[in-house]
Amino acid sequence: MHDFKRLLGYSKRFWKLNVLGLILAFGVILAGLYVPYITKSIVDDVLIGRQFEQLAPLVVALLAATLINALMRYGKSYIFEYTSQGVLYDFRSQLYSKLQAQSFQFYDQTRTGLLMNRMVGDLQAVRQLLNTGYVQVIEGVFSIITTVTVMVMLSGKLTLALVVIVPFIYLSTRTMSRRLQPVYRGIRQAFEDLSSYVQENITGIRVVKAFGREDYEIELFKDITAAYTNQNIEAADIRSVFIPVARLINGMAMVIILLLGGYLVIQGDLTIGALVAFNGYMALLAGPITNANNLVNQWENAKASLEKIFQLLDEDIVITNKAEAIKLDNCRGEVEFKNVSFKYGNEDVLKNINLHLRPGTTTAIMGDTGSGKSTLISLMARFYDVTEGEVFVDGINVKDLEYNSLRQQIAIVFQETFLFSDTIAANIAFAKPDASQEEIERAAKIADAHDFIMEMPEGYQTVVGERGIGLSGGQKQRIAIARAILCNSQILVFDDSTSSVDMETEHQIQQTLKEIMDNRTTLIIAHRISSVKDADEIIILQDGEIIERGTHDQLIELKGKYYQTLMEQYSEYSQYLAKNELGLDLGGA
Amino acid sequence: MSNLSSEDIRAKALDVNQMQRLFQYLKPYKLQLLLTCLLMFAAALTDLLGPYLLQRSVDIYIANAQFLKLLLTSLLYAFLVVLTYLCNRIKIRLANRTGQNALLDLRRDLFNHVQRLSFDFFGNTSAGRIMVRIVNDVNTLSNLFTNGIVNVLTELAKLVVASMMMIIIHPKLALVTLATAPIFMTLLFLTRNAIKRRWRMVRVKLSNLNSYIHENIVGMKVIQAYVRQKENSKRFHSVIGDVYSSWMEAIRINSAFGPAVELVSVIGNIIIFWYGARLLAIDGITVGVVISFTVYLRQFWQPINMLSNFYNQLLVAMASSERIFELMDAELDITSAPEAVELEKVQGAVEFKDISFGYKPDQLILKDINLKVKPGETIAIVGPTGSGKTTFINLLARFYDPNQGQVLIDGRDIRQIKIESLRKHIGVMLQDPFIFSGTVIDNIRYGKLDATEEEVVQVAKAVHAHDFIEKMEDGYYTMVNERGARLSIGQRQLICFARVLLADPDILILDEATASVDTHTELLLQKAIDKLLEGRTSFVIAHRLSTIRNADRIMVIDNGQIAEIGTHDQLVAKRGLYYNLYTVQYKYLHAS
Repeated sequence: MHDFKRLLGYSKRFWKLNVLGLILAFGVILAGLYVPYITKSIVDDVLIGRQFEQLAPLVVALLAATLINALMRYGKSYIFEYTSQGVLYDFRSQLYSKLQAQSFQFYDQTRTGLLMNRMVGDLQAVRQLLNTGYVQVIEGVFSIITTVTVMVMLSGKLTLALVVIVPFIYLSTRTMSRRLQPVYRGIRQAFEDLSSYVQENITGIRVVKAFGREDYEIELFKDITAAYTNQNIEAADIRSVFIPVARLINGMAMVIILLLGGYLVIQGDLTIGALVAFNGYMALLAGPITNANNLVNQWENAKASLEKIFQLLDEDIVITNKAEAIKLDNCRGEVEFKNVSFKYGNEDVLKNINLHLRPGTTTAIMGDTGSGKSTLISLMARFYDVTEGEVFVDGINVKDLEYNSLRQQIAIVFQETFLFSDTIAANIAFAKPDASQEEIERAAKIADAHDFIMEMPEGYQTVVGERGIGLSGGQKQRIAIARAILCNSQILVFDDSTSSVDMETEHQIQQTLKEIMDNRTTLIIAHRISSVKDADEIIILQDGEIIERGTHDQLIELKGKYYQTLMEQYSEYSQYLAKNELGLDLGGA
Repeated sequence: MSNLSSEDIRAKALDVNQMQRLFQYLKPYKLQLLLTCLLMFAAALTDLLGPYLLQRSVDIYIANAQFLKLLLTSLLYAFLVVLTYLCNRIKIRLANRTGQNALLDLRRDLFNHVQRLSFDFFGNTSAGRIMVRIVNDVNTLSNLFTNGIVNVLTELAKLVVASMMMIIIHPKLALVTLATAPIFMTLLFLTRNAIKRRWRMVRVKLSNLNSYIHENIVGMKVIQAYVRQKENSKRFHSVIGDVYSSWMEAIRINSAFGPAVELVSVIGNIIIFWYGARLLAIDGITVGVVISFTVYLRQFWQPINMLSNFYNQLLVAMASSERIFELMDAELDITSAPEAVELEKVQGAVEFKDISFGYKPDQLILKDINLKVKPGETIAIVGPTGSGKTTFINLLARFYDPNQGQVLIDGRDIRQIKIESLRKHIGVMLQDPFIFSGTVIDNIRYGKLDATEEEVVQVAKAVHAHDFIEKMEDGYYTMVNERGARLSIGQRQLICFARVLLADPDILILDEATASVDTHTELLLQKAIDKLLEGRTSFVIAHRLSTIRNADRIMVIDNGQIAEIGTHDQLVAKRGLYYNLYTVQYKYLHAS
């Protein structure tokens, strides 16, 4: 009920139209009531009474009433479509805003399929409710009141006899509602499972095919579709019991009218015309009565969806701006991690990190898989909040900064490249949609992407699909680098961004990047020594802790993990080359 | 470019062929459908008897004060009402089951077909488009399959019976009354195309919306990192605005139907009264008949109203079915030839004979590739980015077929081998480490579905994934979600690696598998790989020469051709392409 009230709240801005619509709805009902009345007159006066001269004016009245009725019906249904679409628009808009504001943690834990269902399927169910649902309830009530009033005027006794059907109507709607509720929830869930499964299967189809697991997947799918189908059948079985009941009740009412009405006519308490008219009015009631069950059905269906939608809208957002959040202007690019620890679930990802990135410097981070390197970036850009300690940018705690202004000053090239369904140019200009072609090409040249882009069929206007299908790993990465460069931000982050690029290309990129990196604070995460050796400071992370730090030369001196890595990467080659080609002695393993 | 239509607006007449194909899915259930129709017919009959009984009552029993006969008639009416209820109830159950089961079959067929499609297809089609067809478009047909067809038949039956009753009772009056029907039909036909086009437009806009939402959700991290919320929000509002306006466009015409039918129906009534009155004047008819005619007329127009609503439903369903069949008809490029055999004992000799291939017909990626690999040999594939290395692997695993030439395993063309068998014997580790939703152990087990926990742990240990897995919340039974968001890229790679290892293939392909793992772990992996490469023919693609160092032979691909091939020492001595690639890293190391 509370959800329903909230739903109605969305209609508030259309209240004037809604009122007009309701007025039209009432008009329709009244005009509709007029018809049996005229029919009664026609039957009693013209057909039975043989007053044929009455026919013409009565017919004209009938036609006029129907015409007005038709126009009002059109107007009414148009208005309610208009308002329900308007509410739908608002819902979509709000949901989208909510999704945009949600934190990384939310997306870690929520399946795409589920979100898609909220935005698409669940909204549809709600729309139907809005469009016809509550209007039909009001119409139904009004219709019943007015129709019953007229019926009472025609014959109080007959109307009284019909009261007996009311408890049956009530019972059937209530029972149906109770039994449908859990089943509709079940359908929702089964549908979500279905779409999530398909989503994953299609996204990972290459793995399916690589392992030849098509048959396996087909078997799994059988179970999932069976579950969905069974839920639907269960719902239909319930409906099969209750929906025809409306007709049954109507039919019984007709029987009562026939028997009792006939008796009254025989006794002379009622005219045949009145009986016929009464019949006609009863037929009018058939609509609302049948609707009652349908509406319950619709409501139960929509309720499950509505619940889920509001749940999504009400979901907490973990990363929010403080009320007096500071905007980061004229960023110097000074980043400091003070005693930072970060825990994800039960895992200690980072422990007591102390790091100072001075403006204009380049810091490199190396470390084993899962040692927490990427997490540092997430904490700096405030995609997650620290568990302990503080992160400062330009001396201000990131929690006190307006997070969008913070992120505008940090350009990140992620480990996994995601490109949007758009032209290459649009992808590069992602952060700055109104960037000029020169700016875009300049960024692409620095990322060593310009050449291969020009070789593509439509050059910069070539459309790349979701996940950048059609491009090699290295090409995607270079576009991602160009995208970051175009941001022109004070802080640059490269998270293993040249892993798919060969060394020659990597070196070229590094050279051209040097100019850019000069006045900016750069953070590089990499595995190759060649990627990190020129950094002002190199940090070695292990199990979430900093175990070594220093320049390339200092770390070599240390003969610790860095040195070990260097040796591992250059072991046999270094011996060979050092001795035979370059006359060097690394004194290594 | 795309294999599936970008929902362009085509105004085609109702495709009979397509409807036939849809009906094929209902065919297995034709007995149930028949029964359902019979039930509906019965229900309709009992429904229609009502007015007849009413007529008799008014004319005879009430007029002649025959109360007993009235009572009996009423009881009969009551009995018919209950009968109708039972018929309706069974009918709903039956119709729904039939429809749902037919839908189930359709959905499964579609999914199964998609599983068999080739890499080429998936390379050119967005996942979202495929999903929409399997999940949503099939659902759109649900009303059609469950209620639609049966309702149409029933309404048609009602229509026919009502007309028949009228004609039987009083042909002249019937003819005059039913004259309005053709007028309405013509009106319907005239607006048909306009309505169809508008609903099509709505579907297009909705599809755009869904694609946009999908992309935004999947790429939300990038959107937030690049503070793109405002711009994307602007676009989003434009997209939902489009949906809104296209919907209202369609509604403008759609809403007119109901009222129009009402109007025509009342005109029909008026005709009945007018003509009926004239007939009454000459005693050609009874009052009862006139009244029952009004009832029959209502029972004539109601079905027409339903049918016109159904027509709209049908249009929507047709749009969906078009898309479904488009996907269903997508060609299976890579199939097992009818004479294809299972691979028994695989030695592992691989040969590429005169291979030429290009993803597009006019752009060859590989040209005249000839290579003979002995069983158990490890071949390292290197070369500049985009030279054709991944393509080479795709041909070996038969994800694509070559334009020219043959790929042979143990002397047999792989096209002559059953695909499932081929896949069992070739293990592939792809560039993108894809993790399914499920537990860690489920993901690894994908390599060998019936592996025991010990086998999984053993393999995990070999790739040095065991340690970090044990550290996770529930160890091997930790749930990792779609795209393995809780795992770092390196961890994902290791799990994928374990997967391949568990499959224990005869031929192994590693495509840049170790590119994003730190050097230390990579070295340990290297040792495990070395062990595994024993007795297996292997192809390794990597950028890091330290990985390739120990291969039996190194193949340098440049510009789609094998530029150099030989052992590491041989190639270094050549001072050619390989030497350059190899010395590059040290060159830059010392450049500072």
